[in-house]
Amino acid sequence: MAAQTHSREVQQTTLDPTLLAVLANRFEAIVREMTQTLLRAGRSATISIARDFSCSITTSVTGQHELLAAAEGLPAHIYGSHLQAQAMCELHPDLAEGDAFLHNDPYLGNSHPADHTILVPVFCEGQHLFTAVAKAHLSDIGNALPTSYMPAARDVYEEGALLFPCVCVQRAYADVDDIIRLCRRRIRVPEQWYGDYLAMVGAARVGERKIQDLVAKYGSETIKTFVHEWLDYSERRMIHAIRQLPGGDVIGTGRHDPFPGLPDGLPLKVEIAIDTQAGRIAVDLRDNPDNVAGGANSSEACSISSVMQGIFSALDPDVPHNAGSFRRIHVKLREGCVVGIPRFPHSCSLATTNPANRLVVITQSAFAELGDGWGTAEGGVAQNAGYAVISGTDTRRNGAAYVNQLILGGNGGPASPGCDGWVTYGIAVISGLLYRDSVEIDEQKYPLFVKSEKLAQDSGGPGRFRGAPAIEAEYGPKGDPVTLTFPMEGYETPAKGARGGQAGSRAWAIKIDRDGSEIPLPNIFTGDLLPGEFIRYRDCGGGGYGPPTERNPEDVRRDVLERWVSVEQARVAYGVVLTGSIEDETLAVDQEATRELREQLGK
Amino acid sequence: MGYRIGIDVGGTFTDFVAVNTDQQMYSGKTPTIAADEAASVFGGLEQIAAHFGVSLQTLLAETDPIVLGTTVVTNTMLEFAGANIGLITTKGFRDVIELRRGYKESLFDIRLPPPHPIVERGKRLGVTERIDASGRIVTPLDEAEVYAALEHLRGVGVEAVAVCLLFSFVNPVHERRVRDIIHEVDPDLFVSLSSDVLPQVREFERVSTTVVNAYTSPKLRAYLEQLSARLEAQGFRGGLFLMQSNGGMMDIGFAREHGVDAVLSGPSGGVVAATFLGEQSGYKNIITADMGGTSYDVCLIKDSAPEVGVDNWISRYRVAVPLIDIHTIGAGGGSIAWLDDAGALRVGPRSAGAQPGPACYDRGGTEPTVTDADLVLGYLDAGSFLDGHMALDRHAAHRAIRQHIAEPMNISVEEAASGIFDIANNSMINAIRYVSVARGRDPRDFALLAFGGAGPVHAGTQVRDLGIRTILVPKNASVLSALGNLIANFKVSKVQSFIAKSDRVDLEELNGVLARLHQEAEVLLGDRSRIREVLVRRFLDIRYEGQVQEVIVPIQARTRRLSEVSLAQTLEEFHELHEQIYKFQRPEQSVEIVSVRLDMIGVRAPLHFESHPFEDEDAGHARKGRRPVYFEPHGFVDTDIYDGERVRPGNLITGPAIIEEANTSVVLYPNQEAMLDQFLTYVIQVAK
Repeated sequence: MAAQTHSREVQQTTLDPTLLAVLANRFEAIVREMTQTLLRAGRSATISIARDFSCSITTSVTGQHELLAAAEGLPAHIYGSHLQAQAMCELHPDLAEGDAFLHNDPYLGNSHPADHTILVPVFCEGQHLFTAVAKAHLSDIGNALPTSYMPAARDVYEEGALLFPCVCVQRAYADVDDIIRLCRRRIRVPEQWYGDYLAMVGAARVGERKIQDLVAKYGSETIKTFVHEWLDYSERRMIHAIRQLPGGDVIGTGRHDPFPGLPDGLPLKVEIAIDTQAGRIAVDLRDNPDNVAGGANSSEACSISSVMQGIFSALDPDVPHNAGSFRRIHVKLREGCVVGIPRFPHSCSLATTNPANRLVVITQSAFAELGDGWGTAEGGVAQNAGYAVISGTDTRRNGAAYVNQLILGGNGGPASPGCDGWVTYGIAVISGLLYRDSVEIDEQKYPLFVKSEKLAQDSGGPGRFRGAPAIEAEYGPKGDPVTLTFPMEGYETPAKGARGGQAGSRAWAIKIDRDGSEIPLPNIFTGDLLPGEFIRYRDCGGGGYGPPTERNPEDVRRDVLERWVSVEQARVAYGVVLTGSIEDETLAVDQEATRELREQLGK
Repeated sequence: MGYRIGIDVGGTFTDFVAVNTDQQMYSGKTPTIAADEAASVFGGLEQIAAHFGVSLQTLLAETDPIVLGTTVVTNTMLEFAGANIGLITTKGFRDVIELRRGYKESLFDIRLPPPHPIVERGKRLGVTERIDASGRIVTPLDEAEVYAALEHLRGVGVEAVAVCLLFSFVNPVHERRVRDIIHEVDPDLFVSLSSDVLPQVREFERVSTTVVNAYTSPKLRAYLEQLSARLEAQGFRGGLFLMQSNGGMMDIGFAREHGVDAVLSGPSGGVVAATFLGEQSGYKNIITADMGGTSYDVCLIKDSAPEVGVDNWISRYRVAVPLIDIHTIGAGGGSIAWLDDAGALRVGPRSAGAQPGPACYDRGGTEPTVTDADLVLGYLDAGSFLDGHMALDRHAAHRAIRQHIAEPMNISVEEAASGIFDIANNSMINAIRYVSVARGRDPRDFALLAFGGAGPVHAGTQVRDLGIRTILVPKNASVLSALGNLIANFKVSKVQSFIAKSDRVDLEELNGVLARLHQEAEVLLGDRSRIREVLVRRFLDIRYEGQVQEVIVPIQARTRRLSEVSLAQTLEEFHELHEQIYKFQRPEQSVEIVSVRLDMIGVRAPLHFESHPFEDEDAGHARKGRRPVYFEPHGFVDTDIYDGERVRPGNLITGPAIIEEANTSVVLYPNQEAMLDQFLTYVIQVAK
């Protein structure tokens, strides 16, 4: 079965072009206001520090549910919003103003169960024209273990999350208390959940009110015309952007590391067909393995959003990201496929990270096959101890319980045809959109001691443009034991380079005992650390772009001075011979020896 | 005779305002001399001396004080031309400045380069030490490593050292020891401690702010010392002060060590003046809108106090000290209009700037800009721009819009110009919404004070969209920053991290922190000879337990010490403010205090501006002609043009009309009427 994105004849505008720009701008501004509300009012650190949430507006003006505006949302959160709005309407024919729905069901359009979504249907002059969507990743959703990621769950029952298949949670602007009580009973740290819930409802209601004001001002007919034309306009931008690409078919391949339910790992394939003439891109994910008995199954929303994210990073960033541009991308999915449409009751606990990360980087780097100047290398994918969900009690706070996801990790970003990789990357699906934690705040809030966090030398993939280095860090409990769980990937298969660039370094994690002995940890870890024990980890380095022997030797020298690259790697990978010393900054490129070495390496 | 002088050295012009003891005021502008702010200051001083008919030496001998606005710090950050600096930090954390908040500004832009490192990794050195969240020393400072780090940094020629150790905001003892060692080794090295610059939790915010301070201060210090020497050589004996980004001024002894506090020196002066002028005309709630060639700056003033923000970035570096909260977008008269690949009209973010400038400047610019649209629509007059000093080429504007916009879109040049005008306004309206609506303020409760060359051209249509009912345009709007320097009071802003659950606040301890901040602020305020009265404003940063964003809540107490009752009142106020900003409150939930803030304001002798008696309402004597001007939805309307020079206080002008001032045009729409008030501010009333 194929998940068809809608397409219709592209027409020229009839609305005043100025008004088109004004209204598009206004809808984006409304999403930003929703975002601000949620960021500032959110209760958990995942929302208020890390910004692991997104807001969007979908529209039903076109006769179906389509994404209209997304501002700075995470693609993994947003690009499937229309599926959720559609579910809301199908399940609730009696939809009314003042309703709000809680939706976290990955079999019904959500990304993964830990993303609680609040949907508010927006009524204008009695018609349901838009849906305001606020979605946030919560640290706890009532899973069997205190984590929002359950890699080993063989199905939803083992996973244990409370699933809300788009359930009415507010009627006439008042909470449906049964649902609130249910959540407060079954979700750990209920105060935190309720605070986040209020912030999400608040954000969606802000969106509702602002949209209603806008429609009141311009009239619903004008707004409807706007929606049609804005989506058509976005589609035209997309056609133009696709026509800039060299045409052809490319196949990206990669592999998800061995994982629960995946003893041999998971080979993945993204088949991309670019029809520049027609201005269309087709992506076929059907030739991939079936659903697995673990938490790493993708949801329909994540299968779509991951390849979309990869494709959009290969195009002009100014193209609007909405249903209009989506019409030009046809993502072919298969039911029961691990990166397709999940078959119940396979678990999608990790859908937004594994295998979404792999799909994003495989798609991005596949575009590099089109020629130099296109696509990027792969970015890092390790969701390591720096992204662990930690839980326990804190004696400093009279034994108060906590559950939260740390954002202390950081993979190297991919090198591109224009610049070195970014260190502020996070993981592929984040790509620099989440905030990392403050060590000081983490130590204040949790019984933790962070020993160090640094960028690791030689971890970025060598290339004409260098992949970004990975974070290497060490932390442990302080005073109280800490339970942590993380499902690490990228410990076998690194972030690949592109067009002759080399791979970044792999991820690892070790436990350091009280006596100082080092014990390598399995990639899936759930366990307690006791005071005096530490965990040390490194995420993946980003892949390089272009042959490293084409990197400007002066840039290599600077990298060595800055300790991004060792003298050894400069010679072996980049073919750059250096003289002098780093310490007194007398380091210099031996031009002659470098030329010779590069010639040799080129052979 | 005595003089008070305010001078703002801007990117293009240096503005100045002088007042003598007879309250006679003189203001003007002189072109800024590139890369030499001191020369620009003297350029202004010479014009002032000439106006009052005295020699420069006489003027300077009788002047006290001079208050400066500067772009030294802003430019240093924009051009990355700061000092060669080193950073000493807790071992294992030298990359915090690089890891930042983990954020990339544009997810999909794969060619966007990472931020420029202002302190390279090789000059970021960790030293063994550790203090924990409670302030306890876990690992003592390894002094030998500090000496070794210094040796390395001096070896590579650093001019300044930033020091940022973890949890120094709780216990600064290690940072202070590092400073002492640096002073012992090299007394001339500039040192900036994070526990001085920003004693608050969050290591990236703190290290970034401290590094920016170390990076910019040496340049600012060199400029101020050179200027002060030159002034003294010419006989100046008065006080020399610098406008700070918090809206207050400080003496140069303080200012030269605190570059980070002067990042918005110039624009802050403008907001201070706007606050004063607005209040003088009877408006305490104002949104200021400064529209220049490349940027549009907005700021919200509530109850005559500009909003202060702590969320600012400059050149992609976090500056977390309190600044007047000026929200800037890249939209101005020079913003270029273009058609994207799907044929839609776009305005900005590219700007033609001053060179080559808009097509109508006739300096080689061929692309259409907002100024070109303003000219085509009749809002500007080709002959009287900048008081007639600069002729505009109407044909060039027409041609640029026709070629680039109108013909490809198959519309008339006027329609295209109107589209450019509307799209530019829309971005600016969104900026106003950002500082008002998005923060729980209703713009209809505010007056819009428009300044900058193009502000009053665009204000008339912006208010219609926002429901604002009053526009204020001060006649001396073009020297607003310099005027603000003249008016500003002394202001010291102190903040200290103080973490406590609301139900277990140790009042003794809290009062101890407040008393200490008070004492430190008094020391910094220094010499009292120019201060009439000292005002103290105290705040607590409060949040619901577990939240991360705080609300800055004014302390509800008249006494120096907080009592159980006044603390409780302050906490109650928090819930109200939270509701106002975030749409909900949870009075049953416990809250925590995060920081204590104290602003000490030294009020200077006030300036009294002359109040002019009202004359007749009839403004006929100022009418200088008529021309067609475009007003939505009517199209071109034959419109009265008034000469601002001849408009008298009390005169009433009804829209549609245009008042041409020396440095701007005030565009009055139908249903708007302007009256020049007794303080020479146009008060424009807007009916729906």
